[in-house]
Amino acid sequence: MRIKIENLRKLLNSLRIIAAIALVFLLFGCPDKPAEPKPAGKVQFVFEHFVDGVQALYNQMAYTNASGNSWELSEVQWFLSEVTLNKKDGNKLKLNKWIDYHYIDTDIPSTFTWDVEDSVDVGDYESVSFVFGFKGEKNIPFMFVNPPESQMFWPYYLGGDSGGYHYMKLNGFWLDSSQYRRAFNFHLGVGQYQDENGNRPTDEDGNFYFVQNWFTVTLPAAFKMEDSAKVQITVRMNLEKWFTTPNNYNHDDWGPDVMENQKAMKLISENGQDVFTISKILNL
Amino acid sequence: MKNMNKVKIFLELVVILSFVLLLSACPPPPEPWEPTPYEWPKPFGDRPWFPTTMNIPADNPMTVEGVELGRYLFYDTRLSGRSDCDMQMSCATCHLQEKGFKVGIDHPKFIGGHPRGLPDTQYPEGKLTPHYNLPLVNLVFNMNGYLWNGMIYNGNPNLGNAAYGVPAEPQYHLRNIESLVWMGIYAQHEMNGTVDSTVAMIKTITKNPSYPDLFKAAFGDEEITYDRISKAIAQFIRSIVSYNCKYHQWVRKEITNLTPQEYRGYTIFMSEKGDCFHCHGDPVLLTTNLFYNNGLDTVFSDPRDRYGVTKNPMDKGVYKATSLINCAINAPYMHDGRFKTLEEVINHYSDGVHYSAYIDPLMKWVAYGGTQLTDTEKADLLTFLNTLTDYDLLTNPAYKRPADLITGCE
Repeated sequence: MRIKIENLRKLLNSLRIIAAIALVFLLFGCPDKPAEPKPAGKVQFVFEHFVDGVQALYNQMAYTNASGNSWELSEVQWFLSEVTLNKKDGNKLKLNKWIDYHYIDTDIPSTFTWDVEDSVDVGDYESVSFVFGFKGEKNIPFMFVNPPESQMFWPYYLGGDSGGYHYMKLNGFWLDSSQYRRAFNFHLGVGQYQDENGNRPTDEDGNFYFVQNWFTVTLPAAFKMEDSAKVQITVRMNLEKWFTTPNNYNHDDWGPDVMENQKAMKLISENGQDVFTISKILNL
Repeated sequence: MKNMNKVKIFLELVVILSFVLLLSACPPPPEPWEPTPYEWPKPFGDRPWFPTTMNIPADNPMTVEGVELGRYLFYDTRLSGRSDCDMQMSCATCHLQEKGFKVGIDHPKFIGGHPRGLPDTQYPEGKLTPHYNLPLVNLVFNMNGYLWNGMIYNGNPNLGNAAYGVPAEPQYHLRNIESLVWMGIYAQHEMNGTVDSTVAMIKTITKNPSYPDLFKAAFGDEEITYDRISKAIAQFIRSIVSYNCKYHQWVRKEITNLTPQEYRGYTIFMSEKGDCFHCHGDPVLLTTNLFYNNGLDTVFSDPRDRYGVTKNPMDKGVYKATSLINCAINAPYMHDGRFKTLEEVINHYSDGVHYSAYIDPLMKWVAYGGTQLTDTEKADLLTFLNTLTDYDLLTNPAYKRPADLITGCE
């Protein structure tokens, strides 16, 4: 049988096209292999409340602060947010894949434990940072609709658009200079700007000015995260420190209410810098 | 052969025809029961307004048909299980829509707004309720316990209540609004009846309304049981929500016209000057639904305070902080109705707070007897409280007495 060269050429061209198509499929058609999961573990935070080195007692006039006030603790409710785990190599891991805040309430023991959903990369960590309360741009009115968080709302009149919620309510009683048992509401949140006459000036649109009182805390916390491990970090609030260092806070001077007293809240915010410690780190 | 084929065809036709006749004689299959899921109002557009956590038990989902049946039962005075008009009582007897589903100080039957139960030989005038009643508004958002002392709460292990004459049997738990319904039927200071007589009575009513039809629509068949009665009424009560008082509209920025006096009152309410907000300031519910000793007394002997439930010594003289929605129209106030006007309430918090070892620390002005408002500030605060009246709720047809409900005792 005689084969025409032209037919052979046609055959060769067809084979080339087929080969090219096959090559394209080979390069791009095969599905990607699933990525190997990065080795990671989990973190659990536990929150405890101490006074003078001992687990806090409630509803008992058991304490004396640095200013000499005898005082008792009724309850404390507070937020922390933007928790970040800081690695030795300088990398930071912000725990914000699900929620980036936690609410702690001594009336609700279930809030003392927070199992963080985020995966935590393996490696050596050296500290934990968090914001006490919320930064202004995150402290949005109405962002919480359900209790108990919604009950921490800070009135719009006192905080505006960047002051939706209390950072903390620390409620209790103290013995005043007449030994009379008086209630105090040691509350921290957004302050109102007041002029030297105690008036609240407004901008041209009638909006008040506000002062942010949140602060960031960084606590030494050395731990090694291994693959599939769970590390428990206990954050302790040392309540006596709210009333001292750098400012000795005297209830007789400031009285029972501070939400509209930016001078008082500034002192409280400054005192808050050393209120927290990491008391324990455990591998669970 | 041809004849055989004809016979075969004929026989086949007969069989087919018989089959068709048989099918047409069968009754049609029953229509599947599909209640209509209840839809909640969305007053804030896409933004959430109400809490998304709602106190709805898994065995009583909200349906349109369930709420409608509950509305009839809520208003039907034959719920007390009697036909004698003098012995009839419904939920609405003491929870009036025009009073924000409270009793109201000018109630035609209950002097000073203090409800009484149906009479018996022991109490010919009817037994007074131990506490004044609370408004049945926004209850679905309360996760912290119902009644002044929070006695009715999820997870309550207690059964029945001897003080209310309710048997200690599993169906008579104390967990949710369903429990309040049977407590209302049994309690001597309320309907003073029995669930058996209530069920028997409701079963007799087939016109205006037809309860069998309403029960079928709500539960899939016409069976009338006490469990279904309590569930339907509970659904209706849960459906009663408030979101449209002037203050709510202002918070949502739908209106901007708080008067200068109303705004001054708002700043007193929402600052530590009046200091109302810590317990009543939630902008949606106007309550935390929590419990406080608010300095009413120095000695505490009420067995039905919060201590009566928790046995926590710090809970003596502690009661629910009620919602202030509609407070301007639903006197009297406090668990014992001691204050007849809002002015009296304001005066209490301004000048009349009593110290005790159990006072809540949020009542921090107790050292001065209260917040020490001036007369002008009191007037401003009162004006603001008037912005909490939700006229839409007070007149909403969805919550009204059904027009075709005829008991014969109107």
